Amino acid sequence: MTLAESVGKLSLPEAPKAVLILDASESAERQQEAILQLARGVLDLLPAQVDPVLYFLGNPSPYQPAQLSTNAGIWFLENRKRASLVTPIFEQIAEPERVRIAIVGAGKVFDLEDWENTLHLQRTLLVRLGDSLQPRPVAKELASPAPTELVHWLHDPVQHVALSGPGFMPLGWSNDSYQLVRCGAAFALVGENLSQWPVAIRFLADPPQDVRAQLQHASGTTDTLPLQPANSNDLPEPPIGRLDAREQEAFDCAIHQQPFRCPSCGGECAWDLLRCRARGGFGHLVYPSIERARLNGFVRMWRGDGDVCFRAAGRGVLLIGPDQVIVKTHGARPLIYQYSPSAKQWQETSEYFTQYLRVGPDAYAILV
Amino acid sequence: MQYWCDQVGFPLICLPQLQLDVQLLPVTKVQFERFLAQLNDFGDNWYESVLAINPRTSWRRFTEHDRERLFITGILPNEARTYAQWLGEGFDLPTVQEWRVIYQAVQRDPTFSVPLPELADQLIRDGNKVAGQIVRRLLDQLKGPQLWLMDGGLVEWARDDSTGQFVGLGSPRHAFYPNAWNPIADTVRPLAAGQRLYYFGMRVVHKPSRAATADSSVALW
Repeated sequence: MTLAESVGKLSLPEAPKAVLILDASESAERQQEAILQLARGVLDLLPAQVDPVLYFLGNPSPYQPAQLSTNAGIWFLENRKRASLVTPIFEQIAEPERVRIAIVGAGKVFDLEDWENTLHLQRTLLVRLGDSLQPRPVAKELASPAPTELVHWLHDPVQHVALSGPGFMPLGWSNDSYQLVRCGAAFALVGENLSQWPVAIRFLADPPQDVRAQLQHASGTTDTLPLQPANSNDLPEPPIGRLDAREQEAFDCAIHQQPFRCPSCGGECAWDLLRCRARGGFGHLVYPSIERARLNGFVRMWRGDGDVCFRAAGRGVLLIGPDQVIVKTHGARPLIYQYSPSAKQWQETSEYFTQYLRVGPDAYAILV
Repeated sequence: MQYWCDQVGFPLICLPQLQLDVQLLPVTKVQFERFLAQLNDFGDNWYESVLAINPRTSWRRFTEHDRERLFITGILPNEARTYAQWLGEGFDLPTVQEWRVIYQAVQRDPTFSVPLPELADQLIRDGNKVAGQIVRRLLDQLKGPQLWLMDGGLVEWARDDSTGQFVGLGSPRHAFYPNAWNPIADTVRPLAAGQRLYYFGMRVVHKPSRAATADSSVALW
């Protein structure tokens, strides 16, 4: 295998639907108040965007969770004489991989064993407030949990995503909330507590199909997802800008390591100065066109059709050869890495990035 | 042979010569549980007492050794009839005479000239997965007339037309209940009314209004 460039995208699956099944049967009659209290506590704690579904054992018709407090007495009574059976409800759930189910009750659920080793039961947590719900162990069961424990089961959002793999090096990504992170000898693209998780990514890896996203949920559980195929629409090329005449003069001086007249303030600047502080404060870019384009990170500049053009070239990584990159992580100076196929790792070189690094015939890179 | 399925997806075989349809198998627990999930007088406590004398086994993994646990047993005649009535109009327990005529017909031609594996496959194709899987699994264990479990199964409730009382017919295998009953000659009665016996089950027949069922039945061959 060798290092190869690829594009992919990550879409997190829809959050599972929360299904709460209450036991109103004769075997749970003495625990009715405790069942109700726990259910109320869970429904109160579930975030507003979660739209739970409420059932009673044996009854395939869903109830409105919002009306539980006012109708609990009637609902428990009308389901009392149904046997503790889960099949009528599980049969309503056509896509068990998209649900998290909790059954709260006391005493046997008679037909649980018919669902042994099914996805339905794997996605089910039994909650006993009296006798066990299972005639023999076939599912996870908690005894008298706090509402928060049950909420964690029913609603377990993703909190952390890390994209990584052998030889992984992200070159560009569509969601700016993700950060490039170096973890020992490997690199990862990491998102934490994001409101929007989808990301398209152009990357190097060895091989690309081994790149995975590791998802960490609020409960601490983890899932692993492969990347999906992406196309150019998912990760469009950044637009090309052009320098004006004064900026081009400055550029021509800078690439020959000669001082130039600042196109912004007119003062003289050293060849490698990008941010001119002649007007005080944090300074301004010596290329107003690039500043107006609000670029951040590496910028590639080249001469084409007589003009000097520029384009964003990656927020934290710039490819400078088939197996060589410059990496700028937060708070650290940019370093040049060389890929080692035998170790399947990027190894730091002793070289440093300098502004106007030549990255192709008549093409240069700056870091802004 | 033609068959159709009751509202819980289990097959009844049409026996035109007898002018009735009969369930291929005794009523299973998973069938009966459809009834228990309805609002009626049978709740958890009732079912617990029934399961206490013949525990449940899953239709997914019952074996040759515990297959009787698949079927609802320990029920009383009035409970069995309540279930039959819930299935709909025309459903009932068989009479003794009907049961015996069916039994003899099964002994003569258990498949009614039809390979039963095709029935199992057809049931699954039609969405009656539980019934289809049960028949398939039983076919691995039983041959010919044995599959009907009228012999080597349970004692089944039937109405004695001469007395109006309910009696048991059938001859369980010895491992389940040792006996020497001949269903054609013997009837079985509990010692006391209301006594739940773990080997007493039920099978439902349907006396069709032919116009109503002819269209919904499936000709397998």
